[in-house]
Amino acid sequence: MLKVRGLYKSLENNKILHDITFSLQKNQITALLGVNGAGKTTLMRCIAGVYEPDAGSVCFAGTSIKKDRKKYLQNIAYVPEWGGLYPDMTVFEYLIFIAKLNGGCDKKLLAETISALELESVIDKKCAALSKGYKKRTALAAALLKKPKLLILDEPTEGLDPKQKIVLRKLLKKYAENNAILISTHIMEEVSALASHILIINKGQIICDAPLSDVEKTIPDGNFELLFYNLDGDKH
Amino acid sequence: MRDFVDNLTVFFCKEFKSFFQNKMIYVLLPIYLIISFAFTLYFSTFMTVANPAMQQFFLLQPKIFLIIVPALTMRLWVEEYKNNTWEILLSQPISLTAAVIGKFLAVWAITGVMLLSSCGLWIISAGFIGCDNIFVLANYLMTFLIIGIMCAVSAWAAALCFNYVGAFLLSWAFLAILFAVNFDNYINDVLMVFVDNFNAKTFSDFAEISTSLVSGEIKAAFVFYACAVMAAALWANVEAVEYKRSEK
Repeated sequence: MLKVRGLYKSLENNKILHDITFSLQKNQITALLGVNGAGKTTLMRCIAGVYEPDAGSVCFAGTSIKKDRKKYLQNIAYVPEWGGLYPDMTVFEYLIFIAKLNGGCDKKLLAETISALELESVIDKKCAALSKGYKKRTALAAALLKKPKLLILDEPTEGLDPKQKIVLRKLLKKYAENNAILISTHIMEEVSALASHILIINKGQIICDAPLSDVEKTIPDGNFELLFYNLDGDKH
Repeated sequence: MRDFVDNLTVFFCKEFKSFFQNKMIYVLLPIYLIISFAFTLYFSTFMTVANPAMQQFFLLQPKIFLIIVPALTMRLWVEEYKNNTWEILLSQPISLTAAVIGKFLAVWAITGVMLLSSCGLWIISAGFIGCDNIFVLANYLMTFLIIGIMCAVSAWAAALCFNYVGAFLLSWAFLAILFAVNFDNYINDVLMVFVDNFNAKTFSDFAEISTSLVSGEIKAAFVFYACAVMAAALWANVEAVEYKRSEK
């Protein structure tokens, strides 16, 4: 579905991503892992169209972001780590705004999404007044209204309570049955609970691109924390 | 094209509504009316000389909007960066040009609402001293056009900044330069290449334009100039947003 080839990105004269190449498949939840500053968010922003890559190509189902940005972005939804909500809008106004930017509001889908993410109780509240968990769910609801074939989520479960985490995991697993999901997370229990494929990025390069089961076999005791401790040590 | 217009409309409505949602209009509108009326009625010759075209009122307007317009435009893009909604917008299948034009039109419409709110003075003046209504209407249109230029240039300046203070100061500086510098000579030099003996006088001289407000004239050359400056500023605004996309 998504093909990233030879991607480079620098920000303020710092090389963030070097020669990134990987693919994402349908029906797959891929976890993007790496220590702080490894380039996870920059990579997600390049795929989501927020950043323009310096070199390389990003294609979704044969459509390149450079050649047909609009068609490419119709298939992709991105939820940044810090939500990205307008504080003066109510949850309902925000969802309608995003739906309109994507060609109109499907009332049935809107109702289903609000219900699936349990947003009924806050639908008329201003986004500024929401708790962190509700902000995350509102941002996710807006992303789902696009009916994206690739959903990109930066730290999706951070700030959610255990019940919300379980609800979100179920929802994402169901959504991945017909689509692809790329998540970035620091929470290792998320990886084993959700992901079927792992991408590990370190110092702007992909150092591991493999199914979760294969990665777990190569890590002593399946301990991801130890792997990251070693990567971080490498960094210093 | 239909998608472009739809996106533009969505951004226009969202921005226009946001001025009421964040209560900004409720602060700026009274300030504008108090300053406009106080300076017109108490600190000018509005009440003492024959004033059929409300000259003293219209001569003040560009100077008052020199402060109001940067206060309105400073939040246009800074708020998107601050709330991280910038990332959401860039990941939508929309035209950035539509977003830029929609935001500009919303600010211009808000200034139009402010200008309309001053019509009370026109009604009172017409009742008490008698006004030449056609001249007054022409003055309103010219003032609205001048404010349109200010909104476009100010929105562009604001798109270059990441914080409110910087956006306000840069917008104000851009507008001050626009008012202080007479661009007529430069425009003349360019247009003389195409048209012999072209005289661009009063094309961009704001002092001259203000004087023409007094006589209630609508100058075709100025209308052309205003449209050209607005288009150039909007183009520069889109480029600024695109540049930030690659650098932020």
